[in-house]
Amino acid sequence: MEKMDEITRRLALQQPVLKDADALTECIMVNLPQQKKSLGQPYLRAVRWITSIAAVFLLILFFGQSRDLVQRPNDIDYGQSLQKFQSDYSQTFDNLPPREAFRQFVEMKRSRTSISDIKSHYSF
Amino acid sequence: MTPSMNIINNDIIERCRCGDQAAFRWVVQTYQQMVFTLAFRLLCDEEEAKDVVQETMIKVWVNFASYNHRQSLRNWIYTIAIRLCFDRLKSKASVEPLPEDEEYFSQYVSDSDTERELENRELLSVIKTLVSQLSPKQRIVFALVHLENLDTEEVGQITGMDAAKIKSNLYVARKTIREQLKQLGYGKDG
Repeated sequence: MEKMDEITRRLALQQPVLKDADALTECIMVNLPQQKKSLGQPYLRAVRWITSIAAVFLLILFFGQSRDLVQRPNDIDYGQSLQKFQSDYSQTFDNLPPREAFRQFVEMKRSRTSISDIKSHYSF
Repeated sequence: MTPSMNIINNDIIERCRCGDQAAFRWVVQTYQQMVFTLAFRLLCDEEEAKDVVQETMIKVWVNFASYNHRQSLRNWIYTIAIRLCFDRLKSKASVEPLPEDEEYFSQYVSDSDTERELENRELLSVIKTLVSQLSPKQRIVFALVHLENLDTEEVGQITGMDAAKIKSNLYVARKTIREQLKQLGYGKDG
């Protein structure tokens, strides 16, 4: 047998002596902290996973819906809105050159326009 | 493990999971010598080995909820102890054997009474002389395979290494120890 194998075989049979084993046990038992809580039965874990996924799905739906609401003005029939606009302001700007008409329109809107004006004007 | 031992173990584990300290005392009393022996062989320090026993048992208690029944309790405790020993081995510089360690070693090798019980001090010197040149991983694999007599599958479970890594670490460890023995004047024939 090789020397190394002989030595390791002998060493494997030799155990170090643990002095004061009872004192060590006592020391461990006295210092035991709070146990970590179990995650519970497997089916409970499955329920948690499902509810978490459902919550994420609902959040995605919510934000998707909000984005859709913000984009809705794009769906407005601009042809109809333009007609309404032209009929409303035709009296005021008909006799003015286009550049002046535009300047006056901007001035007028600057003083009057608010989000509620826009909303009421475009009726949404 | 016998079926009756299995039933006792399962009962103890369930009680420990529920926070029964009396059941856990049984676990400590049953496995503290095992952990001490392993840590003693790996760290070559009696006091540090005792610290590892305490830390291991406290970790076992705290994490009982995450214990997986597919692994044996013994191997799970081994896993925790090995991780703690590995951290300590990484953080401390390797300790070279002193001349007195080598003296104990030569006495041990030439001792005709191979059954003689060694004192901790002598045992420590012999192990230190033998494994001082090994890296932490090689030391762990060597100790688990040759001193704790575990098979490759169990070592894999405990250390998380695959079979190829275990074999290569063991090969290098054996080669290094053989060279160490040669340097000390113990060739193949002794």
